[in-house]
Amino acid sequence: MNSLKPSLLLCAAGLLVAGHSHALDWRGNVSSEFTYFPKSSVGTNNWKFNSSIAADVELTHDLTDAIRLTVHPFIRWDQQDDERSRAGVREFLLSTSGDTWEFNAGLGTVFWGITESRNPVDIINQTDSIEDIAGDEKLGQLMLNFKWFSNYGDFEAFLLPQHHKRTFNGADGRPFAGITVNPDLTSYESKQGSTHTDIALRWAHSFDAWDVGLHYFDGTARSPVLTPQVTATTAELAPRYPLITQIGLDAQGLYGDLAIKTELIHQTGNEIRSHAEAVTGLEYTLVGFLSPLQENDKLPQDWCTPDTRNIFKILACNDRLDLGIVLEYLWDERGQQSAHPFQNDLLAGLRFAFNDASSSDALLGIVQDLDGGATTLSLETSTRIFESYRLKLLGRQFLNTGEDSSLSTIKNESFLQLELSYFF
Amino acid sequence: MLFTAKTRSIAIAALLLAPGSTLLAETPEERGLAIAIEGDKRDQGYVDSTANMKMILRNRAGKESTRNVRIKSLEVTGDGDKSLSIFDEPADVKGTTSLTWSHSEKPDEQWLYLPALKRVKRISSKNKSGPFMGSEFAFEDIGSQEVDKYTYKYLRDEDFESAKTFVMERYPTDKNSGYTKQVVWIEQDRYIALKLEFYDRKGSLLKTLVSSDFQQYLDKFWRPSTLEMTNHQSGKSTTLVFSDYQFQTGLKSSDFSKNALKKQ
Repeated sequence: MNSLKPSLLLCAAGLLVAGHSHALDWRGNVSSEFTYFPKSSVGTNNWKFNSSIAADVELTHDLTDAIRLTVHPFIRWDQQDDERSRAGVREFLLSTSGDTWEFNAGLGTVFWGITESRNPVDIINQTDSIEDIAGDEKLGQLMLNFKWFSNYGDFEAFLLPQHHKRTFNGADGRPFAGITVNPDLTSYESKQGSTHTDIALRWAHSFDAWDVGLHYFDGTARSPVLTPQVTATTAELAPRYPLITQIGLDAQGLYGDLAIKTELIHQTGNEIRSHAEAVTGLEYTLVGFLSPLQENDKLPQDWCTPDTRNIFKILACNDRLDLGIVLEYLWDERGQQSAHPFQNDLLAGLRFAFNDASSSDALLGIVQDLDGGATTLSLETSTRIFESYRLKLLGRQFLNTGEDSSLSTIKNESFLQLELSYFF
Repeated sequence: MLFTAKTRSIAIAALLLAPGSTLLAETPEERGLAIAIEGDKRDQGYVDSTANMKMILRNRAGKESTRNVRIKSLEVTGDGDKSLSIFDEPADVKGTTSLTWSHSEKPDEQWLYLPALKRVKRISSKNKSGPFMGSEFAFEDIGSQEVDKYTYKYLRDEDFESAKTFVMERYPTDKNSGYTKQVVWIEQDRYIALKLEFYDRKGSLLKTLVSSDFQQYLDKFWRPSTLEMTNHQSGKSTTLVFSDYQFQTGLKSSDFSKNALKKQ
């Protein structure tokens, strides 16, 4: 369990109570989450129901006209998994900027990724995989960051003096991978261990319809190599973080309702096999895709009156509903030796935006391993209730994982999760 | 941002050079364009403005939900204006910021900053007919109203709520517009739009917009405090209430850059 850094918390509390001449702004939420696993797990953790409560607040405070402080503490309590019950700070960042430059120092979060399924270009921050199985949640990274905006694009340099270990489910967590990662067995290729200073450079530019980014990273990998360690009584995975050099490209082209996206990286290192990884695909949005039904008089006249109560008729008459079609191909040169399950996989998804007063949305997706491996089905839908609350339903089903080296231990797990969040 | 407009010199040149463009021989199309250009001219020189916008969505049963948005606009000479919308409510989208660079010749450019993801996303501006934040206002109703985004046809003079108005039709030039036609009532003294009717792709009356409580700023610029949009087909309506209008606040072009999005 991570310890809450008291000094940071004190600062955050101080910000809240201190009289100040400059604006203090915040955005945050308190959420409760209920998860149901219909089947038993392969492990000893045979619970089927879990509940969890979390709070998250991002405070920004302008210390002077030129300097802004961002503090983002979070806390979670989990009924089943002790590893998931914890508190910490995702951001504690001082920022200052001019018209053509920006400087950031402290704990920060940086996203470069653009694709839907996986973001291999995001190398600055460690993934908080315990928080979110999709890998979208990141842990704060200690950094010095300088950005310069010019007519030739935006140039950025990072110094990253402290490595953060990846978080993993504990022995009581689900979905259970059959074997747990023990963070106490962590080792590093670098002699400096977690205090090796990594560097990163990035250039990003817009050309008409295209936004392009190139990056270079030299330092300790964010993704560990996991090696089984078996003793007389236990079997665990020991994470080892190798030193790597990574170059990468991200590009997005926007042609009206069609977005073309690609992420490509190449990694080399003494302890890893040199390899390339890519995610590439497109998203096509059909705006108001049911509206031609009404415009071309394909529907009976009495269907689309405001008095209609029939849910099917209401749906057919919904000329505000947007449908996005997402297709992405995921690839890793190492094939079955990849450190993740997406070496030759296809994502197909449908994204619905209802454009209603509650900003309702839904995402249906299927990820198919093309080497005859696992199928992952997912459903994500959310809507606003009572002005300041959001209700979210998440479902995931893993099928045929037996043939997929990386997912084989998850077996045919499935779960449904309901989350209610209050925003302030 | 709302109902402000900028002229392109080409539009004026076209009018001046058009054969027979004297007042006497003016066609309804020429007269309509002349009215639009005059209205646009009267709004030039505002430099920049900021305002708070409260948006009240009402469904057919009268149930309301509210959004609060801060708006910043920058006048751009020779092209469309730039604008920022910063969402304060509902709380789940707090901090979300959209940046629009409207253009008179090429398609508008749009970016969205999502604070939860710390990510600036470029978004398609092709989707003009889609609803803005679930309201009865479409993106194209709320964007910068450039003269060149329509062709015009003057219809008649008419009294509207004791004001003398020009009534004219305007037709969106963008094929992605959700409308075939708009009918607009423009007050003759101040060249401000008091009422707008929107006709859908089938040519039926879809919505009516009524603007009221106009205030004058810097002794020149008229802005409505209340905009009431009624959708005749769904029975829903949306009211926009503007407050704290400020002009020439010293906003710079760099405040409307992609990199400034997360600093709002």
